[in-house]
Amino acid sequence: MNQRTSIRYVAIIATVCLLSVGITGCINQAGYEFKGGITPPKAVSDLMKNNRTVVLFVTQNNCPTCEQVKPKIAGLQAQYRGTNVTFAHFNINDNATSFNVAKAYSVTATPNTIVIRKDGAAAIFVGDFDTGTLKSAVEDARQWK
Amino acid sequence: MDVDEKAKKIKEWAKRYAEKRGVRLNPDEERVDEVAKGLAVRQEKFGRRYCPCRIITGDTEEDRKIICPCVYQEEELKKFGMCHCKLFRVKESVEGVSGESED
Repeated sequence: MNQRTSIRYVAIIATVCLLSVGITGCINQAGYEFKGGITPPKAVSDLMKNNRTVVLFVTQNNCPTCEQVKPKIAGLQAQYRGTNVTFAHFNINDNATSFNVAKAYSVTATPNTIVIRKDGAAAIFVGDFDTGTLKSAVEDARQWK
Repeated sequence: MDVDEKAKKIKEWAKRYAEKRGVRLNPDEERVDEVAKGLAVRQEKFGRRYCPCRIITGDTEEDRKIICPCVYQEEELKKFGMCHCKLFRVKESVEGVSGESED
């Protein structure tokens, strides 16, 4: 392979990579993605005041995975006590506010754990999750400027 | 028929369905009981065996998709080795390598 062909291959690979990033958004190696374009409902924007990172935990009654995941959320919440991260639990069966929060983030299955950056972009974890991955998302959200 | 009896019947149905479909129920009996109870509660309340892990929208056509076994389970079984509710699993699914979180 001559040098010109090599350069051509490198250029093609780089273009494909850049296009992939452009199409898929900001997916990192851990697999979560912060997506913009969602207007946080008032219940959430209130939580975001003072540049706080927000973690929403959306559940419903009689959802076994919700119960299974609760201790993981509680553990993470304890780790972030006293920081600029707010955890909020919305059970859609409790009231209209909770249902509307779920609707705003297009939640169709529970549990949903939603990490919200200061700019409103959200990384959504559906169902059970790996605690380390969720923590990485929270850290990314905290450090985002 | 009370919820517990309904749950028992649903569990029996789920076993038969899994066998027929070539999948298996989650070996975690407790999980199966919880899902069966969730399905029974919803059947009693809404008249349909709606998945307890999915949100009922109120749109009959849309909600038809989440009657257990839901329309999403086939893809989830292929992708994760189990359905979202973890009621059904693929037969060759091995603990810890089928998309289930370990921690």
